[in-house]
Amino acid sequence: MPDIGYAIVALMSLLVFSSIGGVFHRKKTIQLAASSLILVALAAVSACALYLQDSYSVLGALLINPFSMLFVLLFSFTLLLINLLSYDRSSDYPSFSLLFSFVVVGALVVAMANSIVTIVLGIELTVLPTAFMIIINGKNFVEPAVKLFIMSAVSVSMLVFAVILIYPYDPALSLMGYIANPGIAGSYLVMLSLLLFIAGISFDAALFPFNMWIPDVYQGAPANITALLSGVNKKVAFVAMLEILFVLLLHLSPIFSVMIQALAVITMFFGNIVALVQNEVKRLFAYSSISQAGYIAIGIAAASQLGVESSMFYLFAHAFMIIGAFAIILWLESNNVRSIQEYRGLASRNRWAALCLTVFMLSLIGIPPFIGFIGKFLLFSSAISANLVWLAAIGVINSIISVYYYAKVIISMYSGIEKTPLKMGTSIGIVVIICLIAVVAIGLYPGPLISAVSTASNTLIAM
Amino acid sequence: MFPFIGAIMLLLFAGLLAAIALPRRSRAVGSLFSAAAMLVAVSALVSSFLSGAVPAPEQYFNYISQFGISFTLQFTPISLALTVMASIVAFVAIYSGNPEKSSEHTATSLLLLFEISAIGLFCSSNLFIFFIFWDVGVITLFFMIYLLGSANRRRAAIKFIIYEIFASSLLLFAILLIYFYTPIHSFDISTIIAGASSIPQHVQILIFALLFIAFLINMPAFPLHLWLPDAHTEASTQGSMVLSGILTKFGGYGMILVFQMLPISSTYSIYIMALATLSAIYISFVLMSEHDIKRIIAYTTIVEMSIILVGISSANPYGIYGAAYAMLAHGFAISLLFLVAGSVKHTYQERDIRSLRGVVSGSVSSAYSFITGIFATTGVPLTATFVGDIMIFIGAVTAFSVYGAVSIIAIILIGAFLYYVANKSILSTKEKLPVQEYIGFSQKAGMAILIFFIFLFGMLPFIVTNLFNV
Amino acid sequence: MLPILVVVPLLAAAVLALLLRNNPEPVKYIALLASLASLAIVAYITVYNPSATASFDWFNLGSYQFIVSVSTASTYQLLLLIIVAIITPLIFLYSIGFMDVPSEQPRYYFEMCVFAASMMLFAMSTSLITLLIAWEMLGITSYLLIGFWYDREHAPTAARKAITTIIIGDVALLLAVVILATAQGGFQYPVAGAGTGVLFLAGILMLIAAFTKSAQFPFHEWLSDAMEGPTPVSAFLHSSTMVKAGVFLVILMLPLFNTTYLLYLILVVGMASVIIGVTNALVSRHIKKILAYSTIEDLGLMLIPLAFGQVYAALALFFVQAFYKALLFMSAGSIIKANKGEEDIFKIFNTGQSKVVFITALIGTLSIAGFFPLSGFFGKYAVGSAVSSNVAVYAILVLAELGTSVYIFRWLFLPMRKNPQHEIGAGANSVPLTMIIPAIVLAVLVLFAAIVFALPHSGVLDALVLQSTNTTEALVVNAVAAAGLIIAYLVYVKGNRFYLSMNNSHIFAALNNNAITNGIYLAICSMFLHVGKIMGMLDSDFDYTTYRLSYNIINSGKLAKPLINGQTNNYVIGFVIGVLVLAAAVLYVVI
Repeated sequence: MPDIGYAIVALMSLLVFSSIGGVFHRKKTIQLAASSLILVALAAVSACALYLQDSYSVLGALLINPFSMLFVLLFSFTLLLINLLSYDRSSDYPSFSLLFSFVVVGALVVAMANSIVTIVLGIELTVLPTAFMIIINGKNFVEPAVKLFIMSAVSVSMLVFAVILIYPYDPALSLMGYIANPGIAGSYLVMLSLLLFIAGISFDAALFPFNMWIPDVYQGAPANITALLSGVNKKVAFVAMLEILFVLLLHLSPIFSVMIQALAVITMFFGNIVALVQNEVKRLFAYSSISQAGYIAIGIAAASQLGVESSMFYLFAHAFMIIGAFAIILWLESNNVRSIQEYRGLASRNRWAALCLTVFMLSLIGIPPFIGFIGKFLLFSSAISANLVWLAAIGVINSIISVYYYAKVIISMYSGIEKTPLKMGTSIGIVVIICLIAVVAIGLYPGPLISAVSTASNTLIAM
Repeated sequence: MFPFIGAIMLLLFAGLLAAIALPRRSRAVGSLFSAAAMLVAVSALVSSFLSGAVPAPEQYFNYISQFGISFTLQFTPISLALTVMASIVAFVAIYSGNPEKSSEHTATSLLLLFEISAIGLFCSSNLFIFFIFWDVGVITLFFMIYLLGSANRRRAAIKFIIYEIFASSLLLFAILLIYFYTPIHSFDISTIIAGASSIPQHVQILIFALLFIAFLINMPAFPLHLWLPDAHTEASTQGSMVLSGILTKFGGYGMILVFQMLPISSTYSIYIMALATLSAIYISFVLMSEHDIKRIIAYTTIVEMSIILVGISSANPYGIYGAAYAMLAHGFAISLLFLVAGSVKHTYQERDIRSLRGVVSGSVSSAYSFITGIFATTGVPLTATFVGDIMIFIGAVTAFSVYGAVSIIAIILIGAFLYYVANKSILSTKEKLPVQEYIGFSQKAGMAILIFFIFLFGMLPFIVTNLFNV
Repeated sequence: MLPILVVVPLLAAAVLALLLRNNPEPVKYIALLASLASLAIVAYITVYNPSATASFDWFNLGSYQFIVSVSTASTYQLLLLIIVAIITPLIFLYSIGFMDVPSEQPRYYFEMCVFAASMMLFAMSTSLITLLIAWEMLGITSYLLIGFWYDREHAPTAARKAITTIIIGDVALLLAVVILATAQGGFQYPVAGAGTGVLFLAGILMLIAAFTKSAQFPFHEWLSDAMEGPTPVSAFLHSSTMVKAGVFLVILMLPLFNTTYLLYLILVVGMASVIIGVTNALVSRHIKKILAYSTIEDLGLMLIPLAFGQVYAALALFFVQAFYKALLFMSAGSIIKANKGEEDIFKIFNTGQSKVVFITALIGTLSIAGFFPLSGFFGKYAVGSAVSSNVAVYAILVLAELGTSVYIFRWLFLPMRKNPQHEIGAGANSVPLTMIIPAIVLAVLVLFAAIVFALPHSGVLDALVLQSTNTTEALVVNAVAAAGLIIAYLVYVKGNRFYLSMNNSHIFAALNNNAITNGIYLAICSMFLHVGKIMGMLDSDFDYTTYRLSYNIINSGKLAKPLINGQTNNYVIGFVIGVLVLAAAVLYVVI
């Protein structure tokens, strides 16, 4: 049924065109409705394809298979949530929407990519428009945007260089076209390209030390963009990493496993320890997001099917947790509540919001019965089953460290009594509730998602 | 077979929803449902006693089929005993632990949630479910301490959560190791008991160390006890009751599981016994330097749990079943003491034994309940603790000769000090404090219920011990 | 089932007392009836079914059967049961008069009935579990009864002191039982102790338990403080029944003590207690405390023959002591009651006015001093003849006899002094009849109890025999008693002024050694509290250290400040370094 592939491509084009139209007619509501509808349609189509377990390629460049469809589903769904979040927050929603449509295309392209170039293109399509999405909010936002822009320039140069290095061995630049043979496998050029791939993608996947821009940009950008960066862009990078490492360079798995192990360990420690002293909640979540990237890397470092599965599961988990959390942070930010001290008494101002944020944070710590726990459980399982017991141990130690700063926020929210109630906007409320349902429901009954992820990882490894 | 556990869980869950939905009547609704759950638990005990065996496991659904995890709840004799205890203590906590009537809605909801997690933990048939209920219980109690505690609760709550999450993270790690290193990958406790001996030696040592530390924190015992006194000082009466009465039993129950699952653990039993003995005696000295009545009671928890650890470390059925029985007994005794301390605080607005005077003239039932609580703590015959203690010490002496019974000195020390407290402040009528507010019927009823069960399980221990297949 | 029935009425009465706490009028009669019912059952058992047994499985754990079993098959045990059964109704009758505050009665009778039931259970117990249960029940009821008047100044302190000692004994017995059970594989009484290894330890623990309960050196001081309790309690628990449980335990566990060291220990402790009892009784001014010290002495006297293996002598004294000591305490109670609560013998006068009280007290004193043919004589004589082979011990016992005679007549004579100005004594006739009757009954018993030694030895009377009849030793007992009487008369009646002048001398300070003992107790307790303080400081230091540690871990996050400083060039450099590090990793793996 190639129709589904075409449908997706058509929907992506429709989204771009409708957004271009939106720049001219500048009717926010219509634009929101249009883009949301298209994203819903994308999600529906991909869910359909996932259900049918199709597997074929469209136009030779895009792959339709359980893996890609799973992430098309995730990305279209999370982007839908971010779209809802941005509606109130963006000062220039139509322009935002146009840039946003590029991000959508980029994310979906990465998910369905069949060639290395497509992947690199897709990543750039998600990162560069994000920089501009920050800038359109005003003068104050130039600095983070420029930082993001410069750093993405560095990373894209790495990626392009990596593509060039691999070109001689894979002239079609297709993910599946590169056939490893023993002679080439040991080539230093391929290894160098592997290294540059990892470095370039780690920039966006937030692995230390390629992620030092993250705290500044996450903090400086409006919270909806932060949610986008953390909830979608990071996931896109990890999907790209999975595709490149487990399809293109699988035969180098002993090498990249060591590299990713190292990156995972330092990233977890960096994120968690620095987060301990943060005072501004958004910055704190930036560091938390870094440490979560470290956890996801554990699964990749395990370099096994279970590892891939667990990383994929955690991508889902983290997307919902972090978007939910940033939605609440966004709402509080617009009410001038930023630092941990200002979070005092939130529970008395809006108990449901405080409860939801608490749930998201508990899930981020890895407390059952929420989705984050299942994710961490799978990640640590994969490490142990790959004989990386020490890596699992470090993951566990980091979960313990992370308790402190999350607990600090929780405690602040539930201490003191503030009289003035805070009311949450509808669109943010919807996003929070959707994320909450996902976090709790998948946590309580993770079976279906695990089997979906497992099918997807099968197709990925089999590619 | 009637699905007892399912019925208990369902009742509690319904109670939780009802309590959340009815903020004004939450305590009444919560008491009602937890009383019903208590009755079901007691009738499960009675029916097991009559039929001579625990009810069959209740399998509900496949939780994560990829890992062979099914949501199955089952009674073992030990877990049945602990379930009965937990349901009673939680009911009394909900019904009578809050004379101030402060934040009843939050308190009741959290208590019901905690009760669900406690009973789920005791009845879980696999370690995965065990872990989930463990963490839910811990987090619930964190909120109980933090939301309902007194002035300095922030530090105590953070300390509590860090210690407990530390424990639970080690637990998770150990569970995963067990899963991947047993030949049949399984979380199921009975499968693990059957197959754990084929885990490689060094991995077994690692698993044992992890689980031991995790449960030692929770029990707690020296040197990982520091969270408990602070948590109790700041927690509300209800929080203290379930914290000492039920939460510490998580660790004890886990420790029993460790000794049942890992053959290697008996290699270390002598060291554990030594540590537990040291802990019991050290803590009974530490408690002599305290003046806050709740802190004193909190420290006795550590002592009693250390003695329970002595029983578990003996690694023979007498010691282990004795420990289980002592946990059952300690749950009632300690929650009675905390309930009295809470009532006294309510009546006199005072917790410092140096200035607390004349309870016996202002609140006779509190005073005599306190004395009964001391009897139950020190293991006077016909209180349930006696049965547990004598079984523990028989086990310990069987395993380690008389050295196993050194920790009995701690009973003398805490007994002497508790009677000192009783006679110096509770029973003394010199310079007595003015009564601020008399305690109500519900407090007296709660004390009566706990005392009733203390003596019931002290006089008729065979209801439970007949199920123990030594 | 018969032996179990003995305790049932009392337990029922206890429950009724609890239920009737708002309507206390009938409680005292219920208790009295219950005790009479118990007495009737005991009488029936004694006459018709002396070897009744009852046992049931309390619960089982593997090979350990926790059997609760009672029996009256042993004559010793039947003897103790009879003593308790006889004294209980007398005490309850006495209490009707003495405890005349209605609001106190339910609690009082509840505790007393539970005590009486546990004492009977203790007497009949034939398994270590039953023994342990009864033993600890005795301890806690004693604690509750000593602290009964919690609103009096010293009662809580006295109760605290008692329970601290009691709990040591309880735990020691628990441990001893556990050791015995694991050594024997069950809870039956030891029949022939090996006396070595763990059983030696069990023996020592048993002795510690016995010494705490029987108020023997060095655990003796709680007994004098226990006089803060109501007088019937003193007459019942702290003279005639409970305190003798320790001696009885030694008798029951005698097979365990067949090593020389343990017998020496018993002897030494017994002697020390005798000396301490006599010396303190000689100088104490408190009408009940004198009797308490006398009890310590009596119990020491019972232990000494046990060290020589002469059970019969201990039992003889055991039997007669119950009656004369209960009688003396009842007299003391009547005197106190008549003097409106005054307890200092130097401030009590004119006790001779109430003839009945005086005569019963006189019978008691003559008996304890050891005049033939009162029953006390036979006890003293039996003990003396049991140890007469050892001259040193015998000599000390004779001296103790003399002392006993002196202090008991001092106890009698000083309150007798006539002092017309003194109004307190005026109410000497106000003692209620319910307090007089039991005293009379006991006086009769004291007078004629000695008959049992002459009766044919069968049944329970097997336990009561006098092994020998040695006229010299009998004469010595009487002579010493007479000497004591004369000395007391000369000093306290004739030489009153001389005595008073001596009151503050060093000799008195030396005799009055309870202050020293209390000081030692206090020192030990405060040492424990000090160790506790140090440990508490250690614990909080420990707490602080972990706090600092976690604080440092948390603050280590600040190390990243210079790294993440907002300068993009830093980040680019970081990027490059990262690439280099990865390259190094690759090289490491490949090479």
